[in-house]
Amino acid sequence: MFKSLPAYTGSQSLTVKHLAIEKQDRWLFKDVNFELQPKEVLHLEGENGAGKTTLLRAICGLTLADKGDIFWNDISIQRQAYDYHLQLSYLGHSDGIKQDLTVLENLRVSMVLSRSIYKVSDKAILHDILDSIGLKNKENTLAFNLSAGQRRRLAFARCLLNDSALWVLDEPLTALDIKGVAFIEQAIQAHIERGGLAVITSHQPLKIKNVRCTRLNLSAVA
Amino acid sequence: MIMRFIYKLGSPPYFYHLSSRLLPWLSGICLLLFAIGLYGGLVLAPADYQQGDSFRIIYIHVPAAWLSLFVYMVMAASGVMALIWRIKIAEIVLINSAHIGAVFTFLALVTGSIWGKPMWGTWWVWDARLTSELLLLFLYLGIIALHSAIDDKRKAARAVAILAIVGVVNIPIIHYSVEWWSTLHQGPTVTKFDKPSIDTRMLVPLLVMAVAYKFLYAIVVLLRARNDLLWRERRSQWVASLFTDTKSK
Amino acid sequence: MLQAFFIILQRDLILAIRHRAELMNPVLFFVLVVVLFPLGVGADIAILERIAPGIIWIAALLSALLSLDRIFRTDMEDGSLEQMLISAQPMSLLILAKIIAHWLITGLPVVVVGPLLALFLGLPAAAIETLLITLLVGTPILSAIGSVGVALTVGLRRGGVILSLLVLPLYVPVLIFASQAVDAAAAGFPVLAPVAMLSALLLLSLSLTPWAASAALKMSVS
Repeated sequence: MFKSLPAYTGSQSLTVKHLAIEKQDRWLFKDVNFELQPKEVLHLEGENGAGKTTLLRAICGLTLADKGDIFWNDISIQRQAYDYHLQLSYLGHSDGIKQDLTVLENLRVSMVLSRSIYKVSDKAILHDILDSIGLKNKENTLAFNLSAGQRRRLAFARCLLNDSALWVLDEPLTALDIKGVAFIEQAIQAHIERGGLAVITSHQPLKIKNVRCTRLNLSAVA
Repeated sequence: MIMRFIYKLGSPPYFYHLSSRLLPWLSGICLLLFAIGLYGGLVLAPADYQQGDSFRIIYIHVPAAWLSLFVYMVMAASGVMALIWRIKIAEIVLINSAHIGAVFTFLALVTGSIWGKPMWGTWWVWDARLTSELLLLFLYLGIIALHSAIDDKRKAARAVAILAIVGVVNIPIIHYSVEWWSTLHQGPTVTKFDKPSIDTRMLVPLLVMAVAYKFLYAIVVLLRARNDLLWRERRSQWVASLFTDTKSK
Repeated sequence: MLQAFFIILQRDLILAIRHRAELMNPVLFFVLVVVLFPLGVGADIAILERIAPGIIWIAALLSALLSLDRIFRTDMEDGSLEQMLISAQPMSLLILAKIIAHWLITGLPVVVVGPLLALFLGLPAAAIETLLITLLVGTPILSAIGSVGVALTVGLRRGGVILSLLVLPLYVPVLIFASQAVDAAAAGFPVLAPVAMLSALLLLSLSLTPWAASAALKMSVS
């Protein structure tokens, strides 16, 4: 379904300047700089504990930076929290899925929270989305009863709900089987081709074609 | 110009060196004030016609109680600065003021209790002031406990700043409710902790002691803050240069 | 925006109903604490009747304290809290929805059961109505103020003990005004003043605590 969507409107860019974050009186990283334009992917690398997740969370605005700043379209994200979050989809370590809600209920909550371009009452769209993530007949299954991979795919569905140009994905391929991995790769591919941006950490290699991919190794920066 | 000064004060090395220069002066003034206040209160002021000499404990008790509230206000103000501008010095002053404020609150409670024994024969009385002070102690202890429970001290400072601000909003509410509560059961008898018209010879030493206490607070908070700052910034250049500079002298 | 408020409210209520067994715990605890008083203080009905308002209200405080953890803990653990924080919806509105849901789940049962228990403590009929009013107005305040305490401690390992230390002093005004109102009613005095104060506290807490809790959650999550 995501293949037929139009390109993202407007210009987007993500700029990070001299970002430094301190944890327990020790600097996690001291001077991170990068700029991301449309149709670009930033692949974050680094050893465990290098601060990849912290950097992703800082980009989302969940963690405050001690030095430096993050700009979306040349405006600091602190000054435009609402507009920025409208353009952001985040898939973190935890799924952000309520175990005790059904697949459909979880999807509805995500739609409302992310100010989805789709209506909550639009059954056709809901079926469409569920179909594309491979959970077609699982609408009324409690998330608790899904496999880890199925939950991860449901969590990923968030990215497909609103017209967010920036995807921040923390290990999106965790727990996924071959089909799941292929689906995520296709989704990211389509997103990038539409003019989107993505910041991704992944231990497994991601196969995305014809995309300008920057690598940033955090262990090297520290 | 004041804003510039406050801005400079946020820089750890500037704060450290400025406080080094100020401390001797502050200590001198503080000692002087205590000497004047204590002499005025313990020697010069006449004995109270009702309570005799035991009223003199107000020179310890009342300034301590006043200071316990004053320190909370300073703490809340530091909290606002720590939250909005994330100034490290504000964070350090915040948590150290909590410790000092708790001690003064405890002092006020203990001296209040000691004062009560010759008055009513009991070690505690549930009057408005003492009960409010007791609740204030719990507010302080909550701040200290929350701060020590969070490992990341910058995060802990944010948490405690929020708590201090919430506390500041609640203090008038708690105070008023406790006062209303105590008037319901104790009737119109005025407690001796209230200040009826007080002789100037008793009042002046009290005010002197109040100022002396404030200087004491300033000294202790600076000492603690400097220590804290050195530890927090132990990996930085300016701290290292403190040691190399003294060595070269 | 309002849609987000209602969907979060609805979500929390559904989650509570799906764990129906746990719904009874706060109420049972409430009853148990009230029952402990005659056992500890003696069954002299004259004494019990005199202290009944205090007993009911202290039990209500403790029961609220016990149930507070549920407001944010599971959301934090499964990552839905983060999603709410980076959604383009005002966090304080979502928190208000959660506070109201919490009250409906844990406070409303106490409002219903409290007056019944008061009868067993010998509270005169004239005071029962006032007790009902104070419980109705006062228990939401407990949820609201409690939410700030939980927001501050939800990230801690042993946050429960500190939570009590933080929240109980803030509960004192509610306890004082509520129990004194019922006392006054039992003695035939007018109750307007304390009940008015309680209502004022309710309005104040509902408008201010979501902001404080929002700031605290941002801290806890970072």
